[in-house]
Amino acid sequence: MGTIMVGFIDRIKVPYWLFLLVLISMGSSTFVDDFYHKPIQSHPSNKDIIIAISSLGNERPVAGTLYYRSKEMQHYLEIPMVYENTEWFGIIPAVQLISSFIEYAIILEMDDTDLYAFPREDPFKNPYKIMILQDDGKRLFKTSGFDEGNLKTVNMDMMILSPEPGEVLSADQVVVAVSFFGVDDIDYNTIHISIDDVDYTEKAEISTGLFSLVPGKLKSGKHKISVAAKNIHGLEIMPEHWSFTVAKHGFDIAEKIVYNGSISMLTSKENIDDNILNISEIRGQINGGVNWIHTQSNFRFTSRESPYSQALNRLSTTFKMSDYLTIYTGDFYPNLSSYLIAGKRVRGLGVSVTFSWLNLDIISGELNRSVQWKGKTDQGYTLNSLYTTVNHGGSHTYYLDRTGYTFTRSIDTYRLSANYKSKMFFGLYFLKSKDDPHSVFKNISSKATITVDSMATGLTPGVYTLEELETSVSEANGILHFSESNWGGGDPEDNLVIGFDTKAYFDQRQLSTEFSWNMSLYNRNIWDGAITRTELDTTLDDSLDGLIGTQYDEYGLIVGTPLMIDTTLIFDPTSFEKIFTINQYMTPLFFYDVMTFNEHPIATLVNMPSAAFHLRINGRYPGNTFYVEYRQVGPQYISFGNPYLTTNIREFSISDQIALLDYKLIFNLGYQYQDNDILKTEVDPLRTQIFSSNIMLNPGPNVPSFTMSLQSIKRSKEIKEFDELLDLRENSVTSNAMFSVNVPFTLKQMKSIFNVNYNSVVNTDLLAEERMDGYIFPKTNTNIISVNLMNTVSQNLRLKFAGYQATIHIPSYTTSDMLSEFNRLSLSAEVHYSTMNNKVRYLGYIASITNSGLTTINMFNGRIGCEVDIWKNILIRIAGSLQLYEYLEAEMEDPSLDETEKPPASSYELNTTGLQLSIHYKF
Amino acid sequence: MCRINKWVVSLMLVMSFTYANEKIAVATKVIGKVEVGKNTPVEYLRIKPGTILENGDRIRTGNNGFVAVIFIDDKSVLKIKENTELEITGKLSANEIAKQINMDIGTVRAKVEKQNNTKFIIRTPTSVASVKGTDFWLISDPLTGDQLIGLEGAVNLMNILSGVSMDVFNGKTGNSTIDGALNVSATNVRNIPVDPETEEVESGSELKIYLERPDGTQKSVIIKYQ
Repeated sequence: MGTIMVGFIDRIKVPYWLFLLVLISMGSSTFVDDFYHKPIQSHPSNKDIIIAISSLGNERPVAGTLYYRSKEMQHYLEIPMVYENTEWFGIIPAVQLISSFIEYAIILEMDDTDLYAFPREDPFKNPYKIMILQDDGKRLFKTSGFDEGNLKTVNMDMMILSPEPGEVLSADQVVVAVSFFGVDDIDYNTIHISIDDVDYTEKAEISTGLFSLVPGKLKSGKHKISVAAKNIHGLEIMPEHWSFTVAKHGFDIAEKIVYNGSISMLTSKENIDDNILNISEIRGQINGGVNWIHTQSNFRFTSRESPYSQALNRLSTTFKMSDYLTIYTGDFYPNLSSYLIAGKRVRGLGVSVTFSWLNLDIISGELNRSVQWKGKTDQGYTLNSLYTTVNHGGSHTYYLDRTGYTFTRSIDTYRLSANYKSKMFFGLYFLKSKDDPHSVFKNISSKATITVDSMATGLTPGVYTLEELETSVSEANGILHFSESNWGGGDPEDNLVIGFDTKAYFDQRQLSTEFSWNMSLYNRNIWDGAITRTELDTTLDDSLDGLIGTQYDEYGLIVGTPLMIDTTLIFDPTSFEKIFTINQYMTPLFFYDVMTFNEHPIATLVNMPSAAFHLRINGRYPGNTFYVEYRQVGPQYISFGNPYLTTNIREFSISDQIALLDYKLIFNLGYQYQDNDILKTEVDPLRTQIFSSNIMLNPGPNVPSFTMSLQSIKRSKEIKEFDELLDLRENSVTSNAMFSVNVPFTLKQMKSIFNVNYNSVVNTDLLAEERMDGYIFPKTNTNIISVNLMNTVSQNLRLKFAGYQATIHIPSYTTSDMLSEFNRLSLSAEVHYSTMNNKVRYLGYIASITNSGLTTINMFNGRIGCEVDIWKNILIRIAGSLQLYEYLEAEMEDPSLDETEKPPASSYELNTTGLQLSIHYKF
Repeated sequence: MCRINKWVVSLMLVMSFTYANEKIAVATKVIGKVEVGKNTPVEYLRIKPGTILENGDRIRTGNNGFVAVIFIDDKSVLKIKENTELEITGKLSANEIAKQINMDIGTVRAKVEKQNNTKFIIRTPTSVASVKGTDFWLISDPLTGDQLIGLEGAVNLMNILSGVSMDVFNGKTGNSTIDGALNVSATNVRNIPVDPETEEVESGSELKIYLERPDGTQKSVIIKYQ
């Protein structure tokens, strides 16, 4: 104790006797009643601090001393206080206010040698504190105010990072973290952390600015965390206490439901020539879900929906459960591979299961729904009058056929893929798609009508229903032949695709390689199902002997070189029918070209007509992006999942993009070779070579940018046996040049962008000199220049002016140079204006288009519209449009005609008018 | 002169060391494989809950990895999903940390508290997203570009190649592609990544369900059961 006292006295450098007196005076509890001092909490750093203490009683001190120090000082400075009007004053000069706080104490000496101290308990150990503020009132440091009631503790900005007070979490998620950021006077050695009064300090990682603690498994229930510490002056910081709850179950379940969506109703009426088109639609989207499952529902119901065509209504819901499972229902557009299914609508069910190294995609549904007929005469039944035959008794047989239908086309697709550390991927897939011949009925609506013409001898020409036709045929003693299948409206088809793809990343994912190989089987007619063994037996010969390709002479002896394939030794195609229908209509009949296999086995396998594959190398390095690709799609490759895939093509592409000046200057160079010379049977292949280059200069925002592209396309097709009159040879070059300049500028606070584009396409026939006179080179040359000016006059007003001039040279017999020139000039102006705090928005558009060539037509387009936010989330939009044609007649030079006989100089015609109204609601 | 140079070099080394070791964040939740690289050349070590992160630390997550990081100055949260690689940097001042995330690839969600004098910046090879305070997802792929999904407030998204910048608001998605294009369209909820961090857990006999409208207002339904 003595050591402490000596140390303390030595530290504060106050007279020893004064310290003793203070200690003695601390025992008194009444003397303070005679004096009043209000501690100062904070004070600006640019003003002197005036410390005042009032005398409330009769006792008057003989002297008063103010002791103070800044936080960096170990010793107190003392200032004698001045008595004035019952108050003692002491002034701490502003120049001393350089720290985050000032500590002070007051000692009053009474004439009886008593001392009054403020604070009354241990004033030099627990002095008053004044927080020093910056001139703008902000704290110099984050050390905050003081607890008026407890001078032994100070509050500091201890920020709880984790867990939040009251948070509920599982036992394995408990991390206690507290930040002392900006608090520069904490003594990190004094931090004490306890949970439920159990000391966890040793398990904590304490670092400058924060500490973190993982306490390990805690029991379920409520827990209390306490954090205590001292500052570097030894003062206790006000302890922080808060609670959290460990859930009973150690797994997460999220219950945060989020929902939003929109609904729109649209109706439009358009008059195009004399046709009126009315369309009404309601469409919307509803999104919702909890944290681990999200749903998105989309719908569109339109008045264009008809049983006579494929569905135009759309209804779909997607469930996304965590990142592991996604379920698609209704109408969705899967994209698994361009060789398999890409962009084609499926109505059904899709499941995508994603694990870290394994993915599974399943699609099951319909590509087409069945359509029984198209709702018009002869688009359900057709009478083939030409085939009408006369029977022996003189009666007639009439042949009725079914048309205008579409089969239900089912699809089942599976894709299983795996990856190794997200660097190597391998996927295997399978598609099965098949038409259902039973989905189209022989007898359809009684409203379906049939035209009977005069070729149907014995019947009165006219339009009949099926019932009426049957009656008429019966009355004419005729026979109506109507087949049960193999109708003329189309054959049911079958398709099977298998394939795999693989991808690997190298060099920190900057370089990738990709390979995909696919094979398809296609059957264009499955009316009669799979071929049977019996039918196989007689496919190549006429003998039903259990041997394929075996013929006999009249004595029953085998002739020629028979194949003699025992039908019992080969698999039965009917047993495979559920997977694919094998019969004579399938493609390919054999996977590879037997004729070329012996001579070129590898090339024959690579060039299988029903195979498709590609090999691609893709690099993306800073400033340099490139790819090299070889791709081939055989002429017989078919996937119902992607009917848009170009077939009978093989191509090699190489492209490089180099970026300079921090991507402000970009060069692109590319070369592509294409041909259709996959099969040896291709007699006259077409070869195409494309060289392309492109430069883009874009220095940055609000400065001009420039783009230039040049492309040369060389096409050649040699005709080995060509007819001069029908010259189908091709050896041409197409030169395509494009320039574009954007110039942004600001004029009197009006931001504008001026844009000029020029595009030229010129075709040159390299065989021109070899052609016969009168040959027309079937290519069109064009020159297009467009100018646009976009102005943002203000936040409420935007303008756009555009001009467009196109010159097109089309091959023609009517001119001496075999080219006809057409011109199109278009001028347009568009204005967007908003008012009422952007709640009402207007659109206006007007354009004049002049087409000149063989005839001259002026078109005037106009469109106006208005959009109003009528309620918080409700918007109404109304728009109207019209198109007016002006036909300019050719000048009549015939002098024999007087003025009244000349046609009018021009005539106007209202071509199109339209009105659209829509309401949108968001929630 | 030689001595002065030594002093300068030593001072710079000390300063750089000090700067590099500034504590700026702490990992509060870790799922799956998550690694932190602290040295140059970078050596990656498994990150644990409670790991204190320093300026310049690189974080990468595996296929099933997830980590939530809280910044110590304002409690801004960065949630880093699987197959992500990024660097966390922060420049300390008296009142706050100027945070910049240099993201090479992956998916993150940033819940940024209102910044005073600085902006919270996420820089990818394609774009720069800067915010004062908001909530958004950023999905970055150096081969295709970035997708920024606004959940709250506004984020300024700039395409580095073209220099074009746009604000992405709540319910909107900004697409910034490697060819310099930048556009903003309505968010398809299907594209919003799932946040592995749960907001609530089942607690005893009470189930609390929060209903949140797009404008952020919330209502809660408490289901009590035995």
